[in-house]
Amino acid sequence: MESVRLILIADDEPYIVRALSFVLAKAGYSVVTAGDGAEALERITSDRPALAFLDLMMPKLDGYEVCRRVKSDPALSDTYIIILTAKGQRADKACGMALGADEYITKPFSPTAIVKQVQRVMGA
Amino acid sequence: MAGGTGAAITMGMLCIGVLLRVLWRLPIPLTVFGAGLVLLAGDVWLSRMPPQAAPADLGRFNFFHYLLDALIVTFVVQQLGGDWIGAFFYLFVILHANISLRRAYSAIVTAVCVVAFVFSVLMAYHGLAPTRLLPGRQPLSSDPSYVAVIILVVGIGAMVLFSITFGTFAATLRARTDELGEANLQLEQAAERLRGHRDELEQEVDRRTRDLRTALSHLRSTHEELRRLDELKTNFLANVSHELRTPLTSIRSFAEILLQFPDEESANQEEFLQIIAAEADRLARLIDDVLDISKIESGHMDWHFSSVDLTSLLSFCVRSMAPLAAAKGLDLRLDLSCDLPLARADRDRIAQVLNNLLGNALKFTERGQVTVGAAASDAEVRIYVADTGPGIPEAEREHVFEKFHQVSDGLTTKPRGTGLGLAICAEIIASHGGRIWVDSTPGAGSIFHFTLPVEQRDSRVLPARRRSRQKLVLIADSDHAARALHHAALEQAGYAVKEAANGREALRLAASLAPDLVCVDVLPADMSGLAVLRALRSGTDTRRIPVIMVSVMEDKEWALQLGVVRHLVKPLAGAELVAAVEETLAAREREAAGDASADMTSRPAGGG
Repeated sequence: MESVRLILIADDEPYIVRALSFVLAKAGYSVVTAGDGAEALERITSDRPALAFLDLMMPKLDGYEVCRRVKSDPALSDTYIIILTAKGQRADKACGMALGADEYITKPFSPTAIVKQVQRVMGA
Repeated sequence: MAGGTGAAITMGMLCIGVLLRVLWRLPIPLTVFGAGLVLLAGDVWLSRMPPQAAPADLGRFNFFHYLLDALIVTFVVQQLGGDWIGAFFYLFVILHANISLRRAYSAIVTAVCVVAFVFSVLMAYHGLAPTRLLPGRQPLSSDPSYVAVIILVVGIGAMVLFSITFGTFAATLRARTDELGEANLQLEQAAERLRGHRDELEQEVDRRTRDLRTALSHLRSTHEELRRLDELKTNFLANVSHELRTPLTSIRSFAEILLQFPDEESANQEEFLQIIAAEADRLARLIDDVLDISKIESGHMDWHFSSVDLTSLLSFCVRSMAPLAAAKGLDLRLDLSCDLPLARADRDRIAQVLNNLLGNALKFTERGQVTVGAAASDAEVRIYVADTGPGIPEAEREHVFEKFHQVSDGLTTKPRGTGLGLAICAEIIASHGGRIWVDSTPGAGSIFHFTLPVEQRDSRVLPARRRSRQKLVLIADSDHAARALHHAALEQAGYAVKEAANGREALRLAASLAPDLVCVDVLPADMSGLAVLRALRSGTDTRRIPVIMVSVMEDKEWALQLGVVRHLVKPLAGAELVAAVEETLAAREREAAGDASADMTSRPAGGG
């Protein structure tokens, strides 16, 4: 059963994780984190967050692979995936969307804008 | 030979005549034999006629021959009273004459003679032709019959006519055949020459095709090389972009958070501010590293080579890292068994390498010690930095010097390095002509080694060499064969020559040996000729050295604008290069002499 207010943040940069966790917690959401792609997949499977932020360049499994696996698994495919990355080329974006990601945001981002986005998607 | 046959028959006739006179007492006058002898003589003469005589001559010859025959025959027949024996002889004469000509038309003449013979016999039998020989018949008159004479004349006339015509015809035929033969021979010779030319052309075409193929494959591999370099560059940019944005994200995020939550608890505020500061530092270091590696790779790095005292440099670096080691509780020591020789190196850059290696060692080692040591041989010094850290797995060891490679160490809570440190070390050591590598045992620790060339004593003889006549030329070319060719040509012309196989080696040798002239190919493998040129022009030690550039492109303007002294086009003959080198150096000497004399004239008269 999906937890409506649970959000996953997967990124190997600890400060990014810290910044996002802080603002999302302030907005009232529960947050779980992952430092690499394998851990991210585990978390999605076991904790069933409603929304997941995935960085692309992570060790073990990269963001593309996690996205692909989640979206092709019928049990997990309704997880809202936002790809969050410094790779901003059109080709990268197209690749991400082709794999089924719901949104694609490039770094650097504004944390407040992210929160607004999340609220829009999940309902405050 | 036809004439010989004729002679034989005439002989035969004479013998028969002799037999007739002697055995059967036929009154054949002696004059007949005389005539026969004359005929024989004529035949012998005919047989000596050269076959290559001109048609006209041959015709004339035949004419007179047969005229002679005809006269003799007339005389003979007259002697014989124009009777059948005379005709018999007459026939034989004609026959033998025909045998000496071509068989083709002798049939016609023979037919005529047969007819004439038949007429003679008929006339003799009917008493028209007077004969002394047929018994019982009296000659009508003692004069030869006019009919017989007419037949004789007609026969002889026909024979003469035929002989002239066909003789001439035959001679002409023979001559024309010879002409054709001659012409055919010439045609064949001409055809032979044409074949020879065609073969030469084919060989030339083959040669050109081979040359073109070689040029094409060179172009292809150059294209491939350029494409690969372009791809590497694109990847590098993508990586740099990613690496720069990451700390920037943290800085921006936390700045925004601090602004948005001004009443946040101070512990958090402090933490966020520290993160901002740390990430800003990280960004700065990253920018420095990216600039460093870009400068080295593109040849913009300004090297300052000198004689470096490694012992003091190592001590200095170790001393400056001591506080960091102490803070982590690590044992940092310098292990030198003897004094090290001087090395030809850029002191600041080697210090950078040492600091990087020491920094890594201290960062990744949690407990134990870090040791710095060195060993020297005749040609090089090997320096090593050993630690007792976690070590590097075998699979990673070959990637450790790549750009943006970060060792996955599991210490994700600590801020990482830039990922370029070891790559920069590798570039610096390579530019010194040394090697850098790592040995490691996972769990026990790693040892990073690098080598530097020992300063050769003869390089201090530079000023003396300048005073001597021999000039040093440095050739930079990735094509081994071309290098060897030009080396040989220049050495033969009396120059000392050093070779460099790639851009980095060229720069290093140029800086340390100070040659009188550098000759650069456009595309050595690791750095473009352009990059080498720019580096030479910007280096303080190498700025004044004249550069000759060799390339496949004909655009001289572009090269001259970049500061080359001469631009030569490949393929380059050794002699051409030698000439260009001599001209350039001569011009330089004139300039220097001009400067010197200008200096002298500006000195005070009393001397300086």
